[in-house]
Amino acid sequence: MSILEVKGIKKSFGSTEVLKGIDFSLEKGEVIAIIGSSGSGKTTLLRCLNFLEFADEGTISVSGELLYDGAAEKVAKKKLKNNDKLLRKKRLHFGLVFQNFNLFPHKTVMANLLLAPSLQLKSDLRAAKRAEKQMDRALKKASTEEEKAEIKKLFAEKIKRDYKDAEELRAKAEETLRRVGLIDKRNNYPCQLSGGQQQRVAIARALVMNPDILCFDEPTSALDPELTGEVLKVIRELKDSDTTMIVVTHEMEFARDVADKVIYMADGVIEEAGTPEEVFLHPKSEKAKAFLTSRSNAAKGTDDLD
Amino acid sequence: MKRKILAIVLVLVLVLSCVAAFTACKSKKTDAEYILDKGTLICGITLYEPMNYFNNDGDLIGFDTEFAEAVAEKLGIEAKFQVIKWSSKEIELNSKYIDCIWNGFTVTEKRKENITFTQSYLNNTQCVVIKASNAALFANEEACAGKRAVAEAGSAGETAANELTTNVTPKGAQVDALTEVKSGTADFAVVDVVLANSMVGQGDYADLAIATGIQLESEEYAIGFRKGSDMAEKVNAVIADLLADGTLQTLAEKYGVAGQLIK
Amino acid sequence: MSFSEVTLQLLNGFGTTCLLFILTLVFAIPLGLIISFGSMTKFKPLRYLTRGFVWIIRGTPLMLQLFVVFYVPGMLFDTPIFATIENGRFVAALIAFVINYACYFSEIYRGGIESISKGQYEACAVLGMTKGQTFFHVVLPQVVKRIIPPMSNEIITLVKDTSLARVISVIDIVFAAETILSLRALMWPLFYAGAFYLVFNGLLTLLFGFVEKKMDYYKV
Repeated sequence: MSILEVKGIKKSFGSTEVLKGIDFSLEKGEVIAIIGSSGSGKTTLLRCLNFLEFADEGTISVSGELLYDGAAEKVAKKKLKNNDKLLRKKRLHFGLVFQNFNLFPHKTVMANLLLAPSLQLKSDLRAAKRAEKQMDRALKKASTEEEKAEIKKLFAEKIKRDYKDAEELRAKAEETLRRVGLIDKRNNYPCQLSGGQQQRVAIARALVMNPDILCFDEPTSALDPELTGEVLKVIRELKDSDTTMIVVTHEMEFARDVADKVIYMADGVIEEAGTPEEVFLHPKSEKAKAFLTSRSNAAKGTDDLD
Repeated sequence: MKRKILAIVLVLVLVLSCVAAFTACKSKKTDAEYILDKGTLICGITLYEPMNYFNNDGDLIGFDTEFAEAVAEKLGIEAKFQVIKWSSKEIELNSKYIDCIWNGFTVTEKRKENITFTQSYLNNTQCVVIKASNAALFANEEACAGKRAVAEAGSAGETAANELTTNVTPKGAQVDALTEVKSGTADFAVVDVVLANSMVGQGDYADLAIATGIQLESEEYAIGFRKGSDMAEKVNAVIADLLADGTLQTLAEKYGVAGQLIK
Repeated sequence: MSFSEVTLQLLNGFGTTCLLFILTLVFAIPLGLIISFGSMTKFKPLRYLTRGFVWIIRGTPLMLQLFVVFYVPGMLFDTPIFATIENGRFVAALIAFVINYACYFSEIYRGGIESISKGQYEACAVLGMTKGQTFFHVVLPQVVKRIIPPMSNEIITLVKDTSLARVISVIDIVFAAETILSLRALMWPLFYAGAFYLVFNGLLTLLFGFVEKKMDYYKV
């Protein structure tokens, strides 16, 4: 079963149709690179997956579970938009790394990582306590072993949480910072870091939430060229540890090296999809050919300048 | 559009309910009944000698203070004193935070339009206050013409000042008028003689003097109640009693205003 | 009248001034936040109503508002409501000040909240934070840093504005000095009262400088 199944996503802003029906799927541990000129709808697609925008039509399923159905009633959609808890559950299947990092400037690196999960842990612990009490009461009433097992199974879902306690969460945050090579910066504020370091913190922050799929929205576009390398290196390492990722990028070389699948988007539709080899070396559509030619020319141009 | 209409309707409802409450709440009691029922006569005062002031022990005394206490006692109620801003006296009276203005309150035709006065109890003269060093320049009324004058806005002194000169600046309080003269921003001030006697030649006003050569028309002090109040009549009856039994005479002598008492 | 006597009387009035100042802040700072929510809400009638209210309060003199709060109930409904409670004049002044300053604060808050980038909200959203968590843990702390300079301005103005309460005969330090002037013909207590304000505002300026420095550990 695919970890992510996207079908027929359509999205309009006013009279402008930005996404005109997008289908694709992703296997666990796979990396998809989405390329295309600006205005082609790549970013909007990512935002729909993270529920920052709500698709007008189409479905999103993760591990077979239907997360979003564009055919649902208007009322149901509105309800979802205003329901923090429901939205959170759906959103946490995905992580998103922004072009502009969007770190919390008033928090240290460590606090940036811990803020959201520790808030969640607190409310999870409260909920677990309540559920345990309920379970104890139910167990007392239960007579047979089978009934007891049934009850335990029923409550297991409620008591489940990402981290056992604050200790475990902190250990995980430290381990993640080590992974992106910033453990010695844990007590610094974002303003004291370079752009590349800030983006690595943003990646670490997303990872601590244990998303099923990690999305990147042009993660190196806001960086000076000499800083893009360190970020791309981190993403490469994530691939090696089987992280499922969707990367919207302008770095063609990176897309070719790292991605298992490449999607080329133009004017809100997928023009070309396949292995890097298929898309980059044997593109079928005219648009894709033109785009890749202009890109490689541009790349040569900069090479010449160097 | 629907929401706009809703907003307008909400505002209308708010305004209408205010108006409804306003008409419903106006009581039918007369002013005297209102005051006697609550058992207190709240007198609006400002602090100045010899009418209402604190002695060294911190007790409120003065001619008007003791006068009001005597009247209240006869009516079987308690006199209370509220220090107010003189410029807000009418609004204090009409919003019922005080029941009367009892503080050397000069009777004028203009004030009668909004206030019901009792009978007058003291003669009050306005006088011209100048710098003592300028005494020679202010020998008579004619000398004031063209000079810069100050007086309390709406006071009897302001009317008198306007007859003396064309250049009159109104001030918020009589004391402010004296300060203008002292600082030289005005040439003379027209104030109550009772106030002038207690302040001129003292403290920071040591270099001020009353222009003795100028005689202004005499005015009278009375107690001011809300317009149309029946309380004024009740107080008049008590004043007559206090005059008859000599209480007022004794009080006037105690505070040095016996010469001005209206019998 | 000796220096110590004057000092004692002025201190008495200054106590009222300080109490009015502190209580106004205590109530106006949170109330301002509520009003700023009202002026930013998506529900249009409430938004227009709030903005209209803020417009009226900021557009009319505070002195007039003191009059309205204190005198209008007595004049319109025949019930001087503040006469029945202890220190009614002080309470009326407090109400007028709280409403007035809450409206000014609300506009400062609104500016601060609207200056926080959309990216911060989106970052919180994708991390699964609720709207409440986003506001209190991410938006508000950043707003606080941004609004300290304009807030300190308003607060220093408030110290001096409290003397307006004397129009409804709240015996503050200026009223006390004016009374000495009219009773004893002494002017210097009025300037002495000015020194109280000067020292008080000097201390506040130092405090705000300290707080600003404390908040300087990060840049936005």
